[in-house]
Amino acid sequence: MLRYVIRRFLQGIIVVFLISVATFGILHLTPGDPIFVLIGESGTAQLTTEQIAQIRHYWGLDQPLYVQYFKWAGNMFRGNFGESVIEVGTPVSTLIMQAAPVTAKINVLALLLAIVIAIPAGILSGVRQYSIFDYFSTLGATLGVSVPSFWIALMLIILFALKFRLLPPFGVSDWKGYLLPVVVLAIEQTAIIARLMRSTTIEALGQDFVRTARAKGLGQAVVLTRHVVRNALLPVVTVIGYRIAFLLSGTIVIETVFAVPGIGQLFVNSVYHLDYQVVQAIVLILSLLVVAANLATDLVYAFIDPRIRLT
Amino acid sequence: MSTTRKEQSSPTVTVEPGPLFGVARERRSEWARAWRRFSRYRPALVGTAFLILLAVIAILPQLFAPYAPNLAIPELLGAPPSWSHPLGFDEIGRDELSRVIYGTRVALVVALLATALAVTIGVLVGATAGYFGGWIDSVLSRIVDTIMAFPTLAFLIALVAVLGPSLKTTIVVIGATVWASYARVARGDVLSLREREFVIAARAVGATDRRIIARHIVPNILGPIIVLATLAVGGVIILEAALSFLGLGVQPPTSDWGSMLASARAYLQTYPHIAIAPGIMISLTVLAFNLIGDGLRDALDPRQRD
Repeated sequence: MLRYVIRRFLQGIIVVFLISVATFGILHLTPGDPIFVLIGESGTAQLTTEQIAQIRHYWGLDQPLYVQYFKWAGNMFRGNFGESVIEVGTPVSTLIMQAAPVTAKINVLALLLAIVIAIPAGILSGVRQYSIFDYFSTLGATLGVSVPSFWIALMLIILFALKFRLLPPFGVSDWKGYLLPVVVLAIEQTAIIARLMRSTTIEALGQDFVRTARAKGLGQAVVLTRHVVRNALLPVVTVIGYRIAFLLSGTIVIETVFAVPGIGQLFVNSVYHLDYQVVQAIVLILSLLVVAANLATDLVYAFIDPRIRLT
Repeated sequence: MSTTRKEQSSPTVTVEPGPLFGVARERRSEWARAWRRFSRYRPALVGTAFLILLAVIAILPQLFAPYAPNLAIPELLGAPPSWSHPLGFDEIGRDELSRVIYGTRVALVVALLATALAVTIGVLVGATAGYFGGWIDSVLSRIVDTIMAFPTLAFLIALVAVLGPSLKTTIVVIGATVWASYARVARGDVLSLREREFVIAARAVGATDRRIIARHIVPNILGPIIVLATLAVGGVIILEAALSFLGLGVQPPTSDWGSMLASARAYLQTYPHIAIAPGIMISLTVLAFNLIGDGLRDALDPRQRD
């Protein structure tokens, strides 16, 4: 187990390094001079050569690329994300700290909602395969992964906010404002978790140990809770851990639709205003969150299921 | 395609060396069986029919669209559906139905080209990693892990922000971000194929690594890759629509479902009717690909059946 943990940690560190290189590299992907990205092509046209050289020096762009990278990475890991270009003087970290709690709240609520609905639905579907319930829940899951979440968001706004005037169309000033974003974010996750839970349940039901349990006279309830669900849940737990990346992707669009003042909206607004310091910081933070979540999932899984450690 | 057929059945061939015609029959029945399994799944056939219709619409939109997609009649902006304009007018007075029809083009072009790009990169990287193993595998696998750790949409948006939004950017950045899952599947399959008799036999007769990968390994992993790709196309369509919805995809005045929803959002209160059709089209297209993918999974890759 210890060897596995060490190996996974080392892999994680390499991935974190590569993520930071890629995030740093995004700014340098531009076909022209990165200075155009920072102050805009039209902005550069109005400046004298000396002024441009000054700006270049200020941002460290006159240094070799690897020096720039290590300086940048050093700052990032100390939590010094630089200053926002748009909200002049505001540290990027302040902007992120202000936005993070709302995003965390709606994402955690959405994931909980998805789990609470999807796991029982998936188990029931699997146990009663080909029943009416299974038919409708499979249909719902297929639709859930096919319909784009931001369109569902628009439809729900038309229905609940504009037509019936039950909920606010945007903003999270009170609990009512959270309702639509959380539900919309949860839909896709619910569909995916339910589908997987159904198939792992069906698979577990066909295993020898289930037949053995039945043969020794255990009732359906005990067989299901003790033998089927316990085994069927394992792969589902891993997938939930891995879904974090998708959840965070979803939050970007959904926060924009509902004008939720979270990380997603901050990210999109920073892109609109070409505030690259903020964009880089958010990409980096979100990816690190995903790496941490994946690592935690792998370790938990290896702890529960000893077979994993050997591979 | 012909090499695919030959190689697909080669494991069977090595197990059962028979007279030539016997081998040929074996090949045909393999694909015939796959087709039978696929066609038994009714939803997949419905999905295929819908996609063929969409493809025809995308190639010849002028045959289906009643009006020019960019013709604006300012007096009628936001007018609700009527008999001559079944979906009404958009926020600057263009015929909504014609724009939805022309929007098929962008959706399918991005979906197919971005997926083709992703499959190419993914299979090359995955096959190389799995075949050579060792440090090459370690390096490539960490790169794959890295790509997978980025929340796709955040990475896409950041790339578009630097490269500037356009149709070409959309295709390239989506292709360049979603290839990692193909690499993972390809690597795993190649890892097990590498030790199989027909690969060892090819190596024994002096085939180069390049030839073994291209002619013996890749054709054999195509089944799972095709299944994965079909199931992933829907996700690509949603990503494209999401980018356009945020104004970071295809630029106006090109008809695009995602951008149509973006304008719909701005006029949700006044012209709610323009928010409906583009969303239904995205959903149906994604659904069609998912249904075909489910059918193909049952037909080509019985291991993954659920």
